[in-house]
Amino acid sequence: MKKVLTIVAVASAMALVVGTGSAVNAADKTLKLELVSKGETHQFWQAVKKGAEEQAAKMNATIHFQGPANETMIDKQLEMLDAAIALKPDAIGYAALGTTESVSHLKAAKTAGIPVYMFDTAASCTGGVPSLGASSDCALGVAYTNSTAAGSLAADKMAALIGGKGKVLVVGHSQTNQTGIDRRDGFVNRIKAKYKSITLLPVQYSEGGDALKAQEIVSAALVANKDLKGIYGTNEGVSIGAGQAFKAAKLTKGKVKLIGFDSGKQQMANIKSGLQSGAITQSPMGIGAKTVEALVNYVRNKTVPKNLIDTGFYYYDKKNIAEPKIAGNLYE
Amino acid sequence: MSKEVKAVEGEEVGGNRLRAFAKREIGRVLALGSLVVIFIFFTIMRPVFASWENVSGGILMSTTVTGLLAIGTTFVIITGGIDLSIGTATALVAIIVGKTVMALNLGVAGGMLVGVIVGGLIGVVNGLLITILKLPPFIATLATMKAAQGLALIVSDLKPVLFTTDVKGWDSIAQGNLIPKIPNGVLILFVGAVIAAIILNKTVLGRYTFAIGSNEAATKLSGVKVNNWLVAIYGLGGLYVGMAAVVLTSRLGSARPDLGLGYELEAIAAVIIGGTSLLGGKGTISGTIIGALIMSVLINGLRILELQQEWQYVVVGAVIVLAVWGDNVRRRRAGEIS
Repeated sequence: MKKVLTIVAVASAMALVVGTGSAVNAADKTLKLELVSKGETHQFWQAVKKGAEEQAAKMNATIHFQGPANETMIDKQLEMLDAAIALKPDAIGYAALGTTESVSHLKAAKTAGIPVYMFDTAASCTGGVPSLGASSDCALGVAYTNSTAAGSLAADKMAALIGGKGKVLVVGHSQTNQTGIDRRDGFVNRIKAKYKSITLLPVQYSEGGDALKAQEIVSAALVANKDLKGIYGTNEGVSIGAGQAFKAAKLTKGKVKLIGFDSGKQQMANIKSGLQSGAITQSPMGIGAKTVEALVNYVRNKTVPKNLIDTGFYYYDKKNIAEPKIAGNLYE
Repeated sequence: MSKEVKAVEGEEVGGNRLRAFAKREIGRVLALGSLVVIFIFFTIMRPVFASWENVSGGILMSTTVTGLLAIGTTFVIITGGIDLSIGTATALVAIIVGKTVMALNLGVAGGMLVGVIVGGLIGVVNGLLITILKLPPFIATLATMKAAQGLALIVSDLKPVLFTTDVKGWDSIAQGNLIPKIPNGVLILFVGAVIAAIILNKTVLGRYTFAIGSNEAATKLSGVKVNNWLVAIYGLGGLYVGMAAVVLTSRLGSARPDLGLGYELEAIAAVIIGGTSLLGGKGTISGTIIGALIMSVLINGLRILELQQEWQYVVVGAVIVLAVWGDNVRRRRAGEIS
């Protein structure tokens, strides 16, 4: 630990000395970026890495991407973050595992004069509750998926699929998880505000995205509502369960529209076969790309990035599932 | 209170064989009665509830996984033990079945065999932890529950295993119809229940299950190798976990590592509602099936009525309390417990 602190201290001192010198030729030199992720092997993080690499190549920068083996290894990730700071890169991208634990480490980066932009999840730099906006102390901002807007997009797509009227059931995957709440509210509020002829049945939950429970919920809903037009599931497990309920009830494909979330082998197969209408995917590649873009622009042109960058999301269906900008964000 | 006791005694005095039967079986008769009452209530509220489509595809199908788990765990509870691992063990077995079936291209029969063997092994591990390490069943199976949850995530590499169409007929394990209009999953539950009832009532294993639950020390003193039988009983419970896992993967078309947590409590609730005593020594398979059906009729009915989900949880909780409390009151009156 002592050693790390020494390295950090030396690095900070060096930053002070060479700080002005490096700015002079920043425009043409290849920038070195360290990205410390929440994971490395999972397909989601692989897509983040790919997006970051592609963006870096466009902007004359290189990235070194690393993350711990799983998302409980906060210590391991903080070691990686310390090591990244010690290397004194031009900038650091960081996806916070320890939203509070990482704050002192990030302040060390600031002291060392290394700009940090966060991705996916922000650290709580003001010392309070982790919050996306609270980044001024130790980072420039965060690139993340706006789940509420993603839910609203699902609502627009559902309305288009069912002709703007009829009964729709929302099956959520959590009543407490923030992403689950945002995906639900984005959908529900959009329907209520814009599509008055759509009737929303009471929201049902398959806690934790249990696919079996989701199947049972949807089976019952199909019995209780012969005129059900659409189902919106807020994560992969729920989407799978709903699709299986359609199969078990031997519904004609497309009779009831189903819009899900994320990807996965089974859901993608269901979309290709027409059992499921479509799904919303986040854009992990966009998360990687926007993070790199924000950092490079800041270092090279002193453009202060936005505090929050929405990295976008896509609706995909049978027609566009193979398009590169979609396919790169899907995982099995 | 005393008046009612007299009334019961009076009935007994003038009783015939039918009455004696009714008295002996009153727990199950009452449970079955509650089931019928709940069923009629939902039918009146929403007639579509009683449609065969809902009864077979909704209620009976929803009972398959919990029902199989509950049958196996009835044996364990009759011995005075408990098995908390059955939920996450279901996920672990499902993942292992999925991986082996897809990798070795095993058919339906091979996959079922793998499931039952792996499930049985997990049960045996529980039994060994309890008998050799002398851990209380609650702790031993809590440990297995955690370990199974972790292993399911590790073995699966956090990814669901999809049963592709290369494996012919996997979805028909639960969803096919060997008998017209009856899903195979329901058939498996029925056959599993009949086999369990025979084992419990007609075999040495069944007799020792009751004996260990009534008085383990006395059973040991009478020369029974209690430890060996306990391992066998937990192993038997595991076989049902294996079958439940196979049915689950067939219903979903995939094996998912994030499933199963909480299923153990639903299964245990079904067993207790069915009149099996948590203290051991008493219990029936038919009671367990009735208990499992009460749970799924109730949950399905509340969904059909589209009651807000938060209230669904509250109602289910209240019904569990009512069912078990009612059974306790009855037994106290009958002098079965003090």
